[in-house]
Amino acid sequence: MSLVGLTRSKSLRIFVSSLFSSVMLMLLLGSPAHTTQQYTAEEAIFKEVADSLICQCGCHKMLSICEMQGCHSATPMRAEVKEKLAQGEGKEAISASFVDRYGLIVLSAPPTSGFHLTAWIMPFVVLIGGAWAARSVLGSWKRQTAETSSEGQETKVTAEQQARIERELQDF
Amino acid sequence: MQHLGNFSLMAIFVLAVYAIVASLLGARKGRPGLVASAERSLLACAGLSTASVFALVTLLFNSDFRFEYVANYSNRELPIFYKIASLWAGNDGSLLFWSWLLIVFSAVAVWTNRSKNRELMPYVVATLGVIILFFTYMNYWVTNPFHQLGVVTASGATEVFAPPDGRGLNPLLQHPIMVIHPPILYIGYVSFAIPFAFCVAALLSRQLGSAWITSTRRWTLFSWFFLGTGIILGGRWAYVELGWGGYWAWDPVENASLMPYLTATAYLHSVMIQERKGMLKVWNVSLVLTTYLLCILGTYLTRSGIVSSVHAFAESEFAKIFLIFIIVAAVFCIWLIISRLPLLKSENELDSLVSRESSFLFNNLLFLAACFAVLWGTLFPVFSEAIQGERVSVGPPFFNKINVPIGLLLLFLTGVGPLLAWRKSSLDGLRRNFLAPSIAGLVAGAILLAFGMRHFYALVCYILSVFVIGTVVQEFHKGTVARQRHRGGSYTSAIVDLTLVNTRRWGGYIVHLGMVLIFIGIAGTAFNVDRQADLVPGESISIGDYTVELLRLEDGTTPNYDWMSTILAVRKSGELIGEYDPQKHFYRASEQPTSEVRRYSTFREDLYLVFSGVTEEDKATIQVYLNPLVRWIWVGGIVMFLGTIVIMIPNKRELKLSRKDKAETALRDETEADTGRRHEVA
Repeated sequence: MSLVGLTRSKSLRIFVSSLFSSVMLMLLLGSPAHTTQQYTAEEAIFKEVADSLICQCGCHKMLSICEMQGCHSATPMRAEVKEKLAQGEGKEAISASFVDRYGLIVLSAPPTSGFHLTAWIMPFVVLIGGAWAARSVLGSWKRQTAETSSEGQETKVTAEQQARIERELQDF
Repeated sequence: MQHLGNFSLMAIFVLAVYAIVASLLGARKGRPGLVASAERSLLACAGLSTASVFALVTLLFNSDFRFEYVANYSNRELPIFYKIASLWAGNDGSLLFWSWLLIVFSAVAVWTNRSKNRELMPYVVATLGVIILFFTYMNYWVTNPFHQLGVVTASGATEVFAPPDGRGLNPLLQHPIMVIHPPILYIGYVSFAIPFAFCVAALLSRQLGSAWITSTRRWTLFSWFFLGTGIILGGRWAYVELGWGGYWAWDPVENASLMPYLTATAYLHSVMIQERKGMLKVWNVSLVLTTYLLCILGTYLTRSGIVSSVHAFAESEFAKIFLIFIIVAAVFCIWLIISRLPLLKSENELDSLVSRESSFLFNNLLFLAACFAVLWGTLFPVFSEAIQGERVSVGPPFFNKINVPIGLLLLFLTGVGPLLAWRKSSLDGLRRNFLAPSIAGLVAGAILLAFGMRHFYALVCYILSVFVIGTVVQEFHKGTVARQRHRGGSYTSAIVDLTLVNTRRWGGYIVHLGMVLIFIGIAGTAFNVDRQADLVPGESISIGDYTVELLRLEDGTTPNYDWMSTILAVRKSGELIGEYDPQKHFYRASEQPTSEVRRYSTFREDLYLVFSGVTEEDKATIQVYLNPLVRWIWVGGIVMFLGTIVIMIPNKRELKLSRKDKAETALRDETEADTGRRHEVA
C-alpha cells in the first residue's frame, strides 16, 4: 500500500504515532544509550569476568558490584582477575581457577553442563510446553465453536448490523 | 505493655478458633446468628491486634531494652521516625505487623460484606480465620516479640536484664523510603488473602458464579497496586541507599515479591475473559490461589534463611512450621480445584485464533513462564545442594538471560493484545490497527541502528517500546476523535470523558504506558558504565562527558552516627554543574558503615557518585557510575500508579446505574413507608 493511497485518518494516525515516537527517540538519542561501548576493551573483558564471579565476603553480589571499601574478598579477587588478564589468560581459565579454589558457588550463574544444565533448560521447557498446551486448548475451543455453530444455529444479525458493530468496535 | 501484647495475641487465637467453628457450623446448620457472631469475633480481633501492635510500638518508643526485640532493633538515639520502622526491622515485629494488616483487612472485608454475599461469607470468615490462627500461633509461640532478656544470677535464678542501650536499627533501613516501602509491600502481600478467601469460599460453597470475582475485583487491584508500588519503591531504595549503582539485584526477597505480582497480573488479564465469555474458570481460580500461596512462600523465603540473602534475617525452626503450612495449604487448594472441576466447566468457545482471547492466553503463559523462571532460579541453589551436594549461586546473569526474552515477548503482546478484537480480528482490521504503530517502531529501530546502537536486546526493546506507545496513543486518539464526533466539545474534554466512560480499559492503557517507560529505563542498563579512582584534592576522574574533581574532605558527627564527606565538583563538557557531597556514615550502635550516594539525575542519564572510603594513603576512593535512562523507571512507576487510580474510579456507566439503583431503592422505600403509614392510619 502506498502512502498516497492512505486515507486522511490513516495519515493522521501515522502522524501522531510518528510524532510521539520522535519525542521518545529524541530522549533516547539524547542519551549515551545509542553510542557504542564506552568501556575500553580491557575494561569490558574485566567487567565480563567480574560479572561472572560472586564476591566471597558474604554479600552474595557479583564481584563487579560489591561496593564494600577494601573488601577482604573483592579487592584481592579483582586484583587477581586483572593480573591474570594482563598475563593473557582467557575468561574461562580465570573462572576455572576461582572454581578450583571456592567451588561452583563462586560463579554468578550455574554451569551449562551436567545436572546444572537443567537450571537453564527448565524455564524454556515450561514455556514451550505451555505454548503447546495453550495452542491445543485454543484449537479444541475453536473446534467446539465450529461444532456448535454447525448445529444449525442461525445468525440473527444482518450483514449491515454486523458492519455497524464492527465500525463501533473500531471506534471504541 | 507486654501483658497487653500477649493477652491480645492469646485472645485473637481464641477468637479465631471460635470464628472458624461458628462460621462453618452456622453455614452447615443454616444458622445466620452463628455466622454473624463469627464475623463479629473477627471484628473484635482487629481491635485486639491493634492493641498488640500498639504495645510493641510503645516499648520501642520508650526504649525499653528489657525486651529482646527492642534491644536488637533500636537504640536511644534512633530518631522517632525510624523507631516506627523498627516494628518491621526484625522477624518477630514484622510478623506481628503482618498479622495486624491481615486482621484489619479481614475485618474490612467482613464489614463491607455484612449485607451481601451471605452464602460465601461463612467460608470467607473460616478461611481468613485459619490464616489468622496460623499467624497468631507464630506470633505468640514461635516469634513472640514480647520476650524479655534474662540473666542467670549466682543463685541460679533468672532475672530480667536490660542493657544500657540497644543495638540499633540496621543503618541501611534508616532511610525515609524504608519507612514506607515495607508497609506498602506488606499491604500488597497480605491483602491478597481476601481474594484468596473469597475464591476458597466460592469453591467450598460451590457458588462459582461471578459473585466472588465481582466482590474481589477491587481487592485484587488494590493488592496488585500496592505490591507493584512496593516493588518500585524497593528498587528506588536499593538505588539511592545501597550504593552499588543498581536498583534490582535478583535477590531472593526481590524475587519473592515479583512472583505473586506476575501471577496477579496474569489473573487481572485472564479474569476479563471469564467476565466477558465465561471461560478460563479453572485457570482463574488457580491463579488466585497460586498468587496467595506465592505471597506466603515469599514470606517463607524471606525469613527462613533457606536461600541466603541480605534480607534473610532469621534461621530457625520457624521455617519448618511455615513450610508445613505452605504444603498443607497447597495440597488443600489442589484438592479443592480437582474436586470442583465439574462445576468449573467453561463455555470454551473461540471464534478465531487471532483474537484478544488467545492473546490473553499467551500473555498468561508468558507471565507464568517468567514466574516459573524466577522461582526456579531462586530455589535452584537449594535443589543443587540437595541433589548434588554442592551449592551454586544463581545471580543476575542467569535471571537476565532467561527473563529478558520473555519480557520482550510480553512487551510485544502489550502492544498487540489491545489491538486485537474480542472473538475475531479481520485481516483488514489488523492492517488498519497495526500499520501506524509498526511503522513508528521500525522507523525508531532504523534510526537507532543508524546512530550506532548494536545491543540486540536493547534495540528490540526500544523498537517494541515505540510500537506499544504508538498503539496506546493510537487507541486514545481514535477513541477521542470518535467521542468528539458523537458528543462534540474539545479534544481534551473528549479524552477525559472517554477515559471516565470505561476507566478499566483506558486506565489499563495508562498502566501499559507506564510499563513501557519502565522497560525503556531497564534497557538503558545495557549501556551502564562505571569508573573508580583513589583521589587527593585537586585530582579528578572522567566518565562520558563528565569530569568529577575532588575539592576537599569533610567530617562530622551526629547523635546517631559519625560521617565523612567528599566535596566533588561535577563538570559536563567542561561546564560546572554543581558540587556534590557523597558521604560515608558510621553508625555507632550497630558499628556498621553505609554509603550515602549523590546523583545528578536527568531524563537522559544519572551520574551516580559514591564515596567508598579512605585508603591507607589518605586518598578518597570515589566510584562513579553513568546510568542512562534510569529516571524513566521511576516515571513509569508513577504513570502505572496513576493508571491504576484511573482503573479504580468507577465507570460513568456504573455510577449512572448505581445512582439509578439508589433512586429506585429510595423510591421503593418511600412507597413502602407510605403504604405502612396508610395501613397505620387505617
